Amino acid sequence: MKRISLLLSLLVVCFVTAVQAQAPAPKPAPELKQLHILLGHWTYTCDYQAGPLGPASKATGEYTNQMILGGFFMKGQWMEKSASGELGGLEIYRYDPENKNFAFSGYENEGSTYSGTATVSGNTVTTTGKFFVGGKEYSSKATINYAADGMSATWKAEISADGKTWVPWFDQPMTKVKPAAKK
Amino acid sequence: MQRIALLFSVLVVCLVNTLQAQAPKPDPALQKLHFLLGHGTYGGEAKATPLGSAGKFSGEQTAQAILGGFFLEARWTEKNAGGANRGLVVIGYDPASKNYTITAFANDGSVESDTSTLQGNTFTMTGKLSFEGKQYLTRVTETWTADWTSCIRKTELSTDGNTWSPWYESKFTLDKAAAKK
Repeated sequence: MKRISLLLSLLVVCFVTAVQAQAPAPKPAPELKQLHILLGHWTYTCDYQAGPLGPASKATGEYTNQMILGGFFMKGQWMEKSASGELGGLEIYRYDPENKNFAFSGYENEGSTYSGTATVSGNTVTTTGKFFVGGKEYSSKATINYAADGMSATWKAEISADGKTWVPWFDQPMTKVKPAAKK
Repeated sequence: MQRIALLFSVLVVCLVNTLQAQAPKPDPALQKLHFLLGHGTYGGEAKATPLGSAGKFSGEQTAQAILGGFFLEARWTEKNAGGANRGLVVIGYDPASKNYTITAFANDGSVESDTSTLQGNTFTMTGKLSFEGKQYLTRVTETWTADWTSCIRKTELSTDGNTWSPWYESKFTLDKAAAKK
């Protein structure tokens, strides 16, 4: 009987090992390929409108997007200069299979954060989200229209202090400096 | 004319100083976490859960301050029963809720978002973990030694917020602990 138990144990161990070996590693959702239009290195000029975040101003900046962590996420890093100094940030996009959209989280070098969701339809990315700055919460929405060749885009954003009244926030034409490296 | 130029220079310096004084600075609560900066190693044992099979794991982590010190970023690599795993964590501080915010992104596509409080030497975290389209709730207690060089982490997992199961326990040791010896 002990021999049978031993044999059974060995079989169970082999089975568990086989199952573990065969368990397929998770793969990035195919929808993440929709984000590939954003990949690469971009330069931009940003025309900020006067609004709840301050007076009108202009900035120039650079924005780089790359897929990270096995292609499950897109990481964006940006840095811009304006008369008031340098502003930079880091953001991470992921696919949310439950809501069938993209979710993003962003962090800025003056402590503010932002988060929201994005959808991609053809060459247009539409985002809605929340922006937390100086202990206050704002709502934001934006549309990024990419040219057919994917080498330029226009980013238009609106902001609201109460989620009801929206005002233009910024208008940001962007140019891709070089194509994203092939993986 | 020289007097006007001097007065103008003084005014400019005062204005720059005022603007610099108004520039936001990282909350001291976040600077409290700087003991985490640098390299450390960890090891532990996980229970079988919907997230993976039971088994021992070990890994290493490197943390640095980013974005003007307003956030910490940690990267980890790990070997576990399922193979290997790596990821990226961003830690911030929300002065409004007085909570630390922690978001971890792993190369299996999972995302864990936690809020944490610190009392004495113990962090208490609650959060949500999203993996392969399913949501889980997490509870973590992380108790650090008096010299802040190592900690014991105990975690629990729930699918509904009512029933909690042990998830994993681990010990994390910063390299500076070894350097002290």
